[in-house]
Amino acid sequence: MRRPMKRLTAVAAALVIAAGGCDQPLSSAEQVTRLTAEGWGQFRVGNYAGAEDCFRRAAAVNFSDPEVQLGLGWALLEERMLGDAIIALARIGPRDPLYPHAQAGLAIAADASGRFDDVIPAAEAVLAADSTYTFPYDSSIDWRDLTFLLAKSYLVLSPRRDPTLTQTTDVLRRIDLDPPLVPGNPATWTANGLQWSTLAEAALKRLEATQAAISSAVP
Amino acid sequence: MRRLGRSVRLAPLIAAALAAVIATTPSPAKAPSAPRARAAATDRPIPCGAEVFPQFPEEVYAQPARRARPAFSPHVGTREALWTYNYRTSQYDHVDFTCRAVDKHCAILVADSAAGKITDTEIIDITDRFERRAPGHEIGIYDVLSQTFAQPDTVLGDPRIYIALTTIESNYDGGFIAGYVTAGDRLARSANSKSNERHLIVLDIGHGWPIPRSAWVTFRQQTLTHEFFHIIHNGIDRAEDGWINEGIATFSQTLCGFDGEDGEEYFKDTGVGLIETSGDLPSLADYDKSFLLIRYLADRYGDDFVGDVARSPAHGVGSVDGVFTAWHVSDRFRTNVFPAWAVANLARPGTDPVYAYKTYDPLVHQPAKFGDVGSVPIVRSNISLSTYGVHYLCAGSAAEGQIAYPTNSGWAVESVIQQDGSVRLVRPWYATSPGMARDCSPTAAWDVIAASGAPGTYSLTLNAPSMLLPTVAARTPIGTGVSAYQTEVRTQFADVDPTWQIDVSLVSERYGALDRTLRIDREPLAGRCGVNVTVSDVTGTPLPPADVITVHIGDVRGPFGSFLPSTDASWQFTTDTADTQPPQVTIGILANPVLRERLTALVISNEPLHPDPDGPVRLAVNGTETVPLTAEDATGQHWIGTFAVSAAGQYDFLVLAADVAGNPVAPHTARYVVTIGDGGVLARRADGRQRPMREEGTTR
Repeated sequence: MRRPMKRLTAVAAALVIAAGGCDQPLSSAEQVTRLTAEGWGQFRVGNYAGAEDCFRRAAAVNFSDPEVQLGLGWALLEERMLGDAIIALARIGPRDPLYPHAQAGLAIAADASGRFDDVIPAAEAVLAADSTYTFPYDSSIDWRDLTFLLAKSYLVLSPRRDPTLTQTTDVLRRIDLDPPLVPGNPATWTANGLQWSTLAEAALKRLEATQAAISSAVP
Repeated sequence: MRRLGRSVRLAPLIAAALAAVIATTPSPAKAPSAPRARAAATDRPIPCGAEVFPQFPEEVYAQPARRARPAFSPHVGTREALWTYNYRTSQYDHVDFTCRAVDKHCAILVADSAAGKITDTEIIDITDRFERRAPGHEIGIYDVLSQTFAQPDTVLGDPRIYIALTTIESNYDGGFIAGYVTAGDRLARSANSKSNERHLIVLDIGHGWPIPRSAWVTFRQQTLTHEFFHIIHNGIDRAEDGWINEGIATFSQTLCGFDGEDGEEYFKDTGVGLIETSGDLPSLADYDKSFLLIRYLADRYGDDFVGDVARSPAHGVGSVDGVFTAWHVSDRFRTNVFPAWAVANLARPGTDPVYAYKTYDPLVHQPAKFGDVGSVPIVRSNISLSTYGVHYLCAGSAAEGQIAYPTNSGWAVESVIQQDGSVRLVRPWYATSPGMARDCSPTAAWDVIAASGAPGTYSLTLNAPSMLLPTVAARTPIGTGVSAYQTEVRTQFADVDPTWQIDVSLVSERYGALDRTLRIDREPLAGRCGVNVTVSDVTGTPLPPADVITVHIGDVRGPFGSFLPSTDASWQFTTDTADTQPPQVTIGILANPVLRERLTALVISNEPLHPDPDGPVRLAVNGTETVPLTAEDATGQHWIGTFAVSAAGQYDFLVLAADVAGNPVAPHTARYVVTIGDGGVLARRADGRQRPMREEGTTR
């Protein structure tokens, strides 16, 4: 029942805007542009419910608008509605300029859902498009977060996907401030000043240390 | 003569045509066709000529008229001319007879041309047997068969049985036809101008058959019994199939104390089918087979069963199955009787209730080298077999072979071993695909191919058996230092007798016989004589550590009886010392950098983790909640859990698990304490923004 009600609300809001805001009623494109801008505004100030409401109203006017779906997906992500967020973000195709932003959201949602196999292609797509990526609507989310998610996923999946931890250490190297872990050199398997008996243990502890470090870095 | 399996019933058509001729012309009825030439080459009498006469339409028999002449009470010395059938010319002859005896139910008429060949004593013997004392009975043939089957009806008002002794002319070199009855004699002459209008049994006076006269007398009485059954049967089911008609007629001989057929002619040609309707004279093999089948039915189900078959209005196989239904017996002729009868022809009498006759011994009547197909290898292609024909094949030595027969034919193919006179069905020809079977007989066996279905051809190959020694295909573990906790004892054998039971036991040097659960799996045959067998220890608990374990395997027999040497079957291995070292783990907690309350626990262990007695491998959070951990791979050393925390603070994580030996995770490594700030594990960002932790489901 929630969705139809929202749709009605969005239509009503659009009518109000059209009737009261201007002498001339807004076109559909103008309505979408206006609602999308309002949505991102709400998103920026952390009012994710308000943002979702704006994006849903915009979607009622033009459901296939990529930016509307992007905003909706990110709003839902911040609201921890991970399944719905993934559905909205997955509607944005790889040829769309907004694709990296959608993939960034997908990587975060997949990690939070424990779907680490899905994190890797999404995070790699973002970093391939822009190695210094920053999410335009929340500058606290950038390439370091995605690199961290990528390294984490490789490590979690290492028994199946990266048994030698080569990819894990390669990715980790981009955000790790300590001397790099070298798979073939146990002398490098250190973290927090401790020597670890396995490379996996060392990578795990490096990631633990890194997550604090990257979050304190200035964007 | 027709046999089962043909699609068009000719006899009724012929009979209908005859009826039309009879109705429109006063000339004599068209004679039946000439007897088949193949029946001529014999030095033995044809037991009965009744099957050559075509059947008349049933409505022709409905003749209420009472015969005017001759009188119903014949007198000795009365002369009259009768129509007798001449098998040489396929015509009826008008023959003069004189009445020589009259008794309660019968009258004896002797052809004038044969008057000097029959003595009064022989005539008295005939009437005495017929009326008063069948061999071994206190009553005569008439009463024995009347009580077993039915009272004979009357013909045109006359109940008497006329027994005519004459020379039955035929063209059989060295042989002759012993007697006959034709249902045409039941008709009024207005319907059949050659009818004798009475129950008439015609008996041959005896050609030059080189047997003692006393034997001749007995043979004549035996034939009289046979033909009298036809008299009875013509009154209740005259359209019955020939094999039941002749089979029960011959069986009647045995009921009255005479011999039946000995089966020798059948065993010379077991491929013959079942005679279905009349038209031609059956072969001696046909008579033999018909009798043997009825003999078998009587032995297996009783004389009353045969009596019910005779009285059944149904015909042929349907008649037998109809009686089964009436008797509430689930057996059926095609599937339960015919294949078993085919096997019974290889057994001494009384050796089995199903796969043997009670008293008839077929083995003494089989020719030398019966079924002998020579020595292997044998290749036979496209061998034809009639419906209800049987082929008996014996290679004389153990053979491994393959037979291809018509798909969905309903044929029965059995391997049979003769042992001390009895038969034993051995492993059947394994059906490897539709219409294909493989023989894996361990010893010289008979192959009985019974076409209890549509006719067709088969191809057969028999080769010397390959012996197929069972072999050890694989075994684990082997050697020393075997992990007592992780080892699964397993052994595989190839080419094992599919029915062979394998005994397996595990014996500890320290504790003796171990109580273990062992599973034995057999693969399907898949067209081979032997199967692969896998024995697995599925106990689920460790073996004793620091011990010598002996796996004892009992005899393992191959499909042809050879055994795997016991030294090859059993083996030893040594288990490692007890594991007392607890597993060491490293715990890491990794947060989602954006949704910071979303955490991933990664536990890396130096040895595989297993559930402890209290539950699965898990992570206890602050001693209250638990997060299930899942193994990322089969090693059991890499475990993951995804979860969320709802508030900042210090969290105490504890890994709960054990190693395969049951040692819990080393306490100093199992616990992991971490402080999670308000922004999650990650510290507050430099820009001062803070991501509040939120529980899923609380955002809307």
